[in-house]
Amino acid sequence: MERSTPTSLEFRQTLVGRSTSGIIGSISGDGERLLIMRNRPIDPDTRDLVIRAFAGGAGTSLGSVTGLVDWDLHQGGARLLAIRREGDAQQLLDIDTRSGQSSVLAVTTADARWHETVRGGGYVFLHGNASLSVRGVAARSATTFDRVGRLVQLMFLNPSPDGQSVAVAGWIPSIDSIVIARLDLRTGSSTELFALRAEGAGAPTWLSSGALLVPILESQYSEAW
Amino acid sequence: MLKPGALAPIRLGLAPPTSATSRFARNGLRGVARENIQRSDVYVIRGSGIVPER
Repeated sequence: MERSTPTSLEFRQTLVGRSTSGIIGSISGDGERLLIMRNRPIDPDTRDLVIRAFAGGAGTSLGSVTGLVDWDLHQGGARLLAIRREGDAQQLLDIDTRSGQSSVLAVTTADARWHETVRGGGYVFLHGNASLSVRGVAARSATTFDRVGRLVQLMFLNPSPDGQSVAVAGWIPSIDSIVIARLDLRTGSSTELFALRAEGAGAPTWLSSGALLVPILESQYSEAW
Repeated sequence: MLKPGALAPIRLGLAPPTSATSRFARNGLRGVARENIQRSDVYVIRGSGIVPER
C-alpha cells in the first residue's frame, strides 16, 4: 500500500498474495523491497520466502525456513536477519537477499520472540512476556531489562533512528490499555507516550522525521445491516 | 421427509473483515498490511426445507 503523505488514510493498494494457511509481508526500512512469506499448507511451520521490489516483479526466492520466529530486513533490504528455532535454542541467521545464502550469526536463548536491528549496529530482542535485551549497540553495553516501566506484556518494538532509544508497544492491565513507551537506552529510563483502550497494537515504526507510526487494533465488533 | 438440496440457499451478504496488521517504511508513505479475513456468510432458505412425502 502507498499513499501521498504520512498522515493520509487513503492508500493505493495492490494485492500481493492470498493464502488460507498464512501469509505475511515485511517492508524494508527504505520502502524499496518487500519480503513475502507463505506458510506451507501441509507444513505450516515451514515458510517459503520471496523478496521483490515494492514496485512489482516476480521477485527472488530465498528458499524456505522452518521454525521461523521473527525476521528483519535491513540495509535497504540487502540482508535479512531471522530468528529460527533449532532444538532447544534459537539461531540468529543472516541471509543475503540477493544470493539467498545464509550464515548463523549467533545462538540466542529459546525465549527470544522478536528482534530488530539497530541503526549503527546491534540488536534489540524481546524475551518472554515483558523482558527486553540489547546486544552490540553503541548506546549501551549488553543489558537485559526485566521490565519496561509498567508494561506487563511487550508486543513489538522499534529502535529510534539515532539508535539511542527503543519504542515499545505493550499492555498495562491495571488500566486495561495499550501503551506506547520510549525506553532510553543510555539511562535505562522509560517514558509512556500514550495509552489507548484498544485490543492490540501492530509494530510501531519510528519515522525518519522522529514521529512514531503505530497501527492500533480496535476491539472487534459486529454490525447488523 | 427432508430432502437435502431441495431448496437453494441465497447469499445475503458479508460481514466486515476482522483485523489487519500493518508495517511501514521509515518515510511513512509505503507499507505492507496483512488482513485476516474471516467472513460470515448469511443464507436464507426459502420455505420450510421439508418436502411433503407423496
